[in-house]
Amino acid sequence: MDDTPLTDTAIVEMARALLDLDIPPECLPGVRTNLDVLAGHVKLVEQSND
Amino acid sequence: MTESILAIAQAVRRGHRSAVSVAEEAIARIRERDGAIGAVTRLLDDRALTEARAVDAIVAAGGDPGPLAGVPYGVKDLFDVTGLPTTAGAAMLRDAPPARADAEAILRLRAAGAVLVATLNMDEFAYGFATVNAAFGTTRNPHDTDRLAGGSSGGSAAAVAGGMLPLTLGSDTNGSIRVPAALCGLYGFKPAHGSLPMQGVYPFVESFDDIGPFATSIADLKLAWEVLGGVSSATGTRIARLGGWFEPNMAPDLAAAIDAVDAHLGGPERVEFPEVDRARSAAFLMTAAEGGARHLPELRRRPLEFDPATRDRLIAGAMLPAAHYLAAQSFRETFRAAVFALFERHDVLVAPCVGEVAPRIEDPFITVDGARVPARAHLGRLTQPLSFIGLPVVAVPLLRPGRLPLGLQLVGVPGREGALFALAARLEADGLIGFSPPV
Repeated sequence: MDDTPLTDTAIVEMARALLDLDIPPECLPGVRTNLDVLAGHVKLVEQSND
Repeated sequence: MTESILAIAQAVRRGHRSAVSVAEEAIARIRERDGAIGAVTRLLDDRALTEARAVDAIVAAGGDPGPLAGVPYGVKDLFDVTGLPTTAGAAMLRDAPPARADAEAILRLRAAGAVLVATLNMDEFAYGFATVNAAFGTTRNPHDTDRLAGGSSGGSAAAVAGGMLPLTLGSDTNGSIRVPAALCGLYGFKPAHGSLPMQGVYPFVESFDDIGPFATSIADLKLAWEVLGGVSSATGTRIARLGGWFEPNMAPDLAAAIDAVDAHLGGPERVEFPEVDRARSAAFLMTAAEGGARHLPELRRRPLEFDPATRDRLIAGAMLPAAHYLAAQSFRETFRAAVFALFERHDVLVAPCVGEVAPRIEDPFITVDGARVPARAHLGRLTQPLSFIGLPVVAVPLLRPGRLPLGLQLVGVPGREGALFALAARLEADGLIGFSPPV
């Protein structure tokens, strides 16, 4: 994952395009936080594969 | 006062007590105590008395109802119970079609004479270590009702620790039996992955979901495990202490207690798993991805009916690219091979279960490497890397009468569970571990 944080618009568009999922606006802050957490874990899992 | 399930079953089998009277006492205790705890979601008094009468009829006819004769028990709210919706802790499933059959684990307990009395609270869809549930309430720790019981099988742990039931069933994907067992001061068993029946259990992450019992002694725990289908297998006495990832972030009295266990065991060798931080992260990713994928249809249809505490995690998990899930899965095999190699030289590894006592409900955080992190997601940081590769683990309570509970994990490999129960029995007999009722 890139270090650049996704914008809210990008998160909403990605969910709609890839998952056919409309993220309600009130969920966005929580989803963003959790995506950040997952990105941290992804980095750790993939780091040593280099 | 908490009764041993062995003692209850013996009294009922011999006709010294009726199963109906035991069930009525359990129902009365729940009615009296659960208001302050919030462990029970449904009291099944009619069913319990029907089952208890059937047990008594067998005894009256000169038969043997089984090794759990008349033992009252409860199940986490994700086991199918005939005629009831299986809620999995979710408001949206309150009106789901009722289960048409009992879960296989319930059938096995019933065949052994046990009596189902209640269903028990949990984090929604088992995603959390807190049992803070927007629809069914927060389960409070019987040792201090201002504190978390842990989760996701918090109702199962609190019902036993609070003296309401002597036996309950929970499920454990990342620590959901072991974490509440530690925080509530109980014995809990997360069996080897796939070794106990999952039919009729609402899934979370099928790659590492398992069910298991909670009890107040190691003998009770072992009996329940055997009735559920566990096989007492090979034992062994090669013990080591798990270091590395499992050593920092421990409360001083937990560190001291583990040192005392160490000394009691003659100072066993200290071993480390390689790359545990990666293992925990891989478990985190697989959990998020599998959980998110499972609930995607309802996230599309009615996202606002989820518990906010799980909903946003599930949406993020559903968005995780498959490549990352597969990388986590691939690493799991590497990690499993490295860990299993360690078990060629050891039978039991001793580790802390949760690094500190139960957090306060009003301040649900724990300290990790100096930072305050949410308990709901992080209480399982010492349990996740173990269930992720399917290891059997017995959670045991340090003997600390009058103080908030702390617990250990006795970690083994599939096929050598006997070593875990043997070590726990030894530590219990020697007064290092054991259940202390809330004061």
